[in-house]
Amino acid sequence: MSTYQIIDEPKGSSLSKITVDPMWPLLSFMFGGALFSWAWSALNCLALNSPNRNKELMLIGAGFVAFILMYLGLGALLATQTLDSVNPQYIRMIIICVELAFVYKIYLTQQSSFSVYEYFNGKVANPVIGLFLALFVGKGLEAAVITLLLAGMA
Amino acid sequence: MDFDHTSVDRLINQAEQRYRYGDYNGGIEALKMALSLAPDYGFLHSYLAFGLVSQKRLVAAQYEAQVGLELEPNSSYAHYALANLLNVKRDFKAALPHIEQALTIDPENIHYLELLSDIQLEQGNTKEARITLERALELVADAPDLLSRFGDYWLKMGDYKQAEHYYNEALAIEPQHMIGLIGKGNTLLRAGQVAQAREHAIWALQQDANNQSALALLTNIKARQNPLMGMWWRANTWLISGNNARTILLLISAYVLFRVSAIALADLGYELIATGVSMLWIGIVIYMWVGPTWFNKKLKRELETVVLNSKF
Repeated sequence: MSTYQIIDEPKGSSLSKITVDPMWPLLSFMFGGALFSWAWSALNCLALNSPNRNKELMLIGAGFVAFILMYLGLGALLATQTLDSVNPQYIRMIIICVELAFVYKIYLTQQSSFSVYEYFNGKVANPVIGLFLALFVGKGLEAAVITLLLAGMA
Repeated sequence: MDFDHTSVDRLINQAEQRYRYGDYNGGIEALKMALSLAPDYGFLHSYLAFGLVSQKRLVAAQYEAQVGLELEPNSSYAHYALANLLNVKRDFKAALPHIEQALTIDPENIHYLELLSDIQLEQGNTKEARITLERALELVADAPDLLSRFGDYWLKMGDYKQAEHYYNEALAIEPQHMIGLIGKGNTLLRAGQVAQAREHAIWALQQDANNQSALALLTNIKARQNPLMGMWWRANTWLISGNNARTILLLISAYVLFRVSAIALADLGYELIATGVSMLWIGIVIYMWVGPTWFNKKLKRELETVVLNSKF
């Protein structure tokens, strides 16, 4: 007998076996940067297949757009030597804050669906591989993208 | 409606039992099975909404309460379920017409009267709230829930003697009544009887260690005994009641704050202090990791070591 489905219950998908606690994509931000964290969150979102799926994907997309715009803007400012007197660490910090705001919002949206998924004995994957990938691939990937974006405006 | 009434009724009974013992997940499962058999039975949707409210799944609860009302617009219970949800969402203005409608259909239901008094009290209409409670008490004089609510009313009004009287009445009928125990504990604490208040908090927590009101009472007691310890209890209660989200938000905020101060201090030439700030950040991260475990152990010990007064 197929049981009634409550609207906030994740439907699950063929990717369900790779579902992780949304805390891990959030923590991967520290090891692999924002791009890796968002990519992992997007994969987790498809695996969970929750009713908030489209909202989460839109948030992740907005994060990517904000990331590109911030570095393009920074590139333009650096090219015109506007920021010569500013400590680059402050600029980096502002960018991190914006990235963290997206990371946290995505986490919050995904967490509520994950709690329901976990309660109904949904399979939860081990995050170790993801964290290793973040550490060894994420940072390098992000550095390459940033260099590309900054060079694009230089 | 064409469905297997015997099976659905059996599942409703099962859900009722589960709800009564606080097993909302079990109750929801039973109602989901019942809804597979009778998807257009409005009562099931409304009853499901109650379980979802208890689990703080408010979006799903609102959907179910509205479906219940659409299917049975003349059902007092459907209006009650929606009013209850709106009350939890603190949308008292929207909740009021629904509970009034429920009472128009079924004027002698004490649960509806209790909810109406809650809403009136939240809206600051204390006189009306009292009249509503008295009306309910005329209908059923020995309901512990109702008596405790009267206690809550007097506690809010600052009349601790009256509050204690009603809580005592509720506890005389049902000695383990949670609202009564917590309410009496709060009354005793405000009257300065800290040790007795603690006994009530512990007794309530021994019955349900996850009860937020009981934990808040014990925290207030700790704060009264030792302000510094009270701050630590308050911080931990706040953290554990918000899932992981609060811990993570706190960690992110602390990270940003420490990073900015470290950069600024290094910029101004205070490298040594900047290193100290970074070390402090590491300390906070470690504490956030071990702190909740430490707190839970302390809480567990508190519950195990207490010896209740013989008069309790």
